[in-house]
Amino acid sequence: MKGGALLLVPMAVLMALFFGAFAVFGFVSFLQPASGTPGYQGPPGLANYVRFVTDPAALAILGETIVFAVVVTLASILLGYPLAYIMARSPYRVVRSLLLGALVLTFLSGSINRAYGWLILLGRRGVVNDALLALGLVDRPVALVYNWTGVFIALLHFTLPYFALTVFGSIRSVPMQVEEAARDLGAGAFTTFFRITVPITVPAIISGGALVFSLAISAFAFPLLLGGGRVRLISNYIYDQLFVAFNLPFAAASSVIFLVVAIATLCLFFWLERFATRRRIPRGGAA
Amino acid sequence: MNRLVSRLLWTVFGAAMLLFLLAPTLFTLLYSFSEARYFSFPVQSYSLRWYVTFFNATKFQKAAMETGLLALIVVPCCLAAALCTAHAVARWEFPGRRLVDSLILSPLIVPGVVTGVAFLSLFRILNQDIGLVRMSIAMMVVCLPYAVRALSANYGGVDRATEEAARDLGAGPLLAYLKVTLPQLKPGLLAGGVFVLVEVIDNFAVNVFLVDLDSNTLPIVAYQHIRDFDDPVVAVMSTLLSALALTLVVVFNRVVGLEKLSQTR
Repeated sequence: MKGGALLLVPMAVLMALFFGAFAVFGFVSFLQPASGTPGYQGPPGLANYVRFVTDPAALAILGETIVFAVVVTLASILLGYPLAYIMARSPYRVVRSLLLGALVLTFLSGSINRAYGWLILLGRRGVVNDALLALGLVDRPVALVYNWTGVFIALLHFTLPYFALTVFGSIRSVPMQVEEAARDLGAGAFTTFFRITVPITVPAIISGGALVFSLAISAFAFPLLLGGGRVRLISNYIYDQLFVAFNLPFAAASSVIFLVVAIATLCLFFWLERFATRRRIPRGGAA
Repeated sequence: MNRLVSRLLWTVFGAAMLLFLLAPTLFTLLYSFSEARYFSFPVQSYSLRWYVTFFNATKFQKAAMETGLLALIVVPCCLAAALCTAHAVARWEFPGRRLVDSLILSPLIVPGVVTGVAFLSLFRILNQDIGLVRMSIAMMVVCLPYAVRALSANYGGVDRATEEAARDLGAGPLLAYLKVTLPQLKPGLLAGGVFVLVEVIDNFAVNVFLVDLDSNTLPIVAYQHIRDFDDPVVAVMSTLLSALALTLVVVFNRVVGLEKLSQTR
């Protein structure tokens, strides 16, 4: 087919712009801001990188970001898996479509909107605090926003649909007969769930987990709105370097380090997924 | 007894999840219709005054125009580029096909802020300072993976025999493509279009670096408003956007079926 090369042109142009942007930005990360102007000046050097890795505050933010992303990922798995299981296996059509509809709607209704929704719900005058007070669980309003709790709740709400939709397809593709066979052989519902369904879907759990992790590690709008300046993740740190300190070269260097860390952790997830798939499906088996 | 307890647990869990998922949208909806400036539940009195405020606010009007314009540019261009790419990858054996496959997905794994800073560096070098141009290019790159994935998943199911039959009956390659292949790609185009549209309307992390002084998009204006004011105007915007999302969900469900959605992303 001759027209094939032509068909790849739009993609090639867009990818060239993308990688071109990264080349420029990689280069800028070795420069220094020219004082008083928006430009940069040489000579190229590693000063920005040295500054990042020797700054305890910057390293602490990077570390906190990773730990926080891991916690959000684990929480998404713990809540998202049973949710996807109900969606795939509930005998009632209404339940299945209601949950799927709610999930897709949540998934499509923007991040700023949802961060704002949580701001209303979790604030000092918010509904959650009202409910807690009315139930007598607390005797004065608890601080649920402008701290880690608020960012965590909102971010979990953001990542949950991604995870649940990823494993949903996988659970549905497990033939019902496999579970029935286990039940017929005397396994209880609990045993069947943990020894049959969950192990078969491990690759989907890992790839859903990788997706959630990469979303959580790059969270920006949620800490910005719900963190109230107290919770800063690495994305917010980079933003501040640019818009508070006006230091694009240092922001670029921080971004390069962040990108390397993000890709390294994702590779770890892919390696885990391959490992899990290979162990379950002996050789040449269909996925 | 045991069964009853387990069913009860599943029901409670399902209901709690439903509440958790929908609560922010529902309470934002209530807040947008409340008369009072500050939220209280139950709402004391309802009014449309914040809708009036929203539609009369110049900054939101301008942002809605800008966002709409951006979507009008990015959605068709991105789908067209994705259609070409998916066709080449599905139909044409060429060296490095797998490389192209993974290359296209690379914008997905780069954190939004990093993409934003990278494009900002590029556009500063190129002296490109029109926000709309900068955002259009960046959004096309960021959205391409979604569109290509949706279409590639669809290409596998296209019936090539019908296409060949059309060719045998005398249709040229272009006619055969338009009349036979393209209609079969409707689910992929729709799914890809929905993802791209949602990403363009919602993107904050990349666009916040690329806007110019008078090209703010809706999420950016909303953020500035939340930062500076305490009133339900943003609740109005959220509610309108949720209504748009709901419409998309309903249309998608009618045309393709919601369960297809989880297979494309």
